[in-house]
Amino acid sequence: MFTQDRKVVVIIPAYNEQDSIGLVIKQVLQYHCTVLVIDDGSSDQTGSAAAKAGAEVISLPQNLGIGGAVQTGYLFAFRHGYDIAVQVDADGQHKPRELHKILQPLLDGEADLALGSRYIAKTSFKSSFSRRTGMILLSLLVTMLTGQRIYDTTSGFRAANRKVIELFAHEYSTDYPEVDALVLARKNGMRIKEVSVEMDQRCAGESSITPFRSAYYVTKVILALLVRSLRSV
Amino acid sequence: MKEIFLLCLILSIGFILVVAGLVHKKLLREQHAILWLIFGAGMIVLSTNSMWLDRIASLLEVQYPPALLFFIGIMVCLVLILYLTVLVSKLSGRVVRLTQEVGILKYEEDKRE
Repeated sequence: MFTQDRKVVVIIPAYNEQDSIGLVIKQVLQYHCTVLVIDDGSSDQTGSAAAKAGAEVISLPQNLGIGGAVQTGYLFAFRHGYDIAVQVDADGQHKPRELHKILQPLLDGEADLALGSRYIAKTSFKSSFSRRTGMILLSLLVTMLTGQRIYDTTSGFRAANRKVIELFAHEYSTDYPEVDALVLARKNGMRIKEVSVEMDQRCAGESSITPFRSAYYVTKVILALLVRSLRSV
Repeated sequence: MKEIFLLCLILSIGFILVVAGLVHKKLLREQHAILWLIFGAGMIVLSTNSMWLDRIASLLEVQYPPALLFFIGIMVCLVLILYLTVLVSKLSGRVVRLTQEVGILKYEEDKRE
């Protein structure tokens, strides 16, 4: 097993993903880690589907949004003494067989936070023009704010070591967490490493970021980031 | 005393009584009530001393004294709204943390059984 006896938890935030969650969990369980699904107040059977597939399930009594759900996972990982927390989306776009790629920099002590990226090298991932433009804008902004070139800022496929788990358990953005968390981590002196991974298009359900909303999303994230950069920490 | 100032005075006193009543029924916390009481006291002062407003208005070269009153009123409202937004932000942060804690506690409880 590639985790070298370290306690690894895979956090899967899920909101109404009953159709795709089971498969994702089964794929991740092949790698013998704890799978923790945060059921973010789903109105469908996400929670029971996840439990049936063999995951640990924390059911939030109300919908918090992706940031609040993910943070629950980090809080759990922090309290229960996990060494590494991995974030995987419930929609099946992240491939569990790519897990070792984002774990490796942490196991080698090269980085505190490893980011699975679609763009750093040529991969088979395709996206729309509007979405790509937004991603480039966000990448530029994050690069500017952190002083480190980061390509795929919105990737939800990432691995955090104990230091980052502790940081995220205490502070995490509720509204636009993927991008914001990178800036937060860098501000706290964490080392981020971006590694190239293969990703799929969503296999079921609907992305929370539809093409129509992507421009709006990008604008809001940029504003939120700029507001955050006014803060001292 | 002009009728309008008398009306203002009655309204101000009524306002303070309402605030006091809300505190008494525990619908308003003392901490927030102080703000509204100060606001009410200000209203009483201005309505019983109408020449103050006139004097300040002429000092600031405001042609029409009631305009100054509107300006002060709007500014106070803005500050209050801002303060309330700060409170809401703080509260929503706390609700998120509580929700997370409840989720984790429920999970640990289920594990124990």
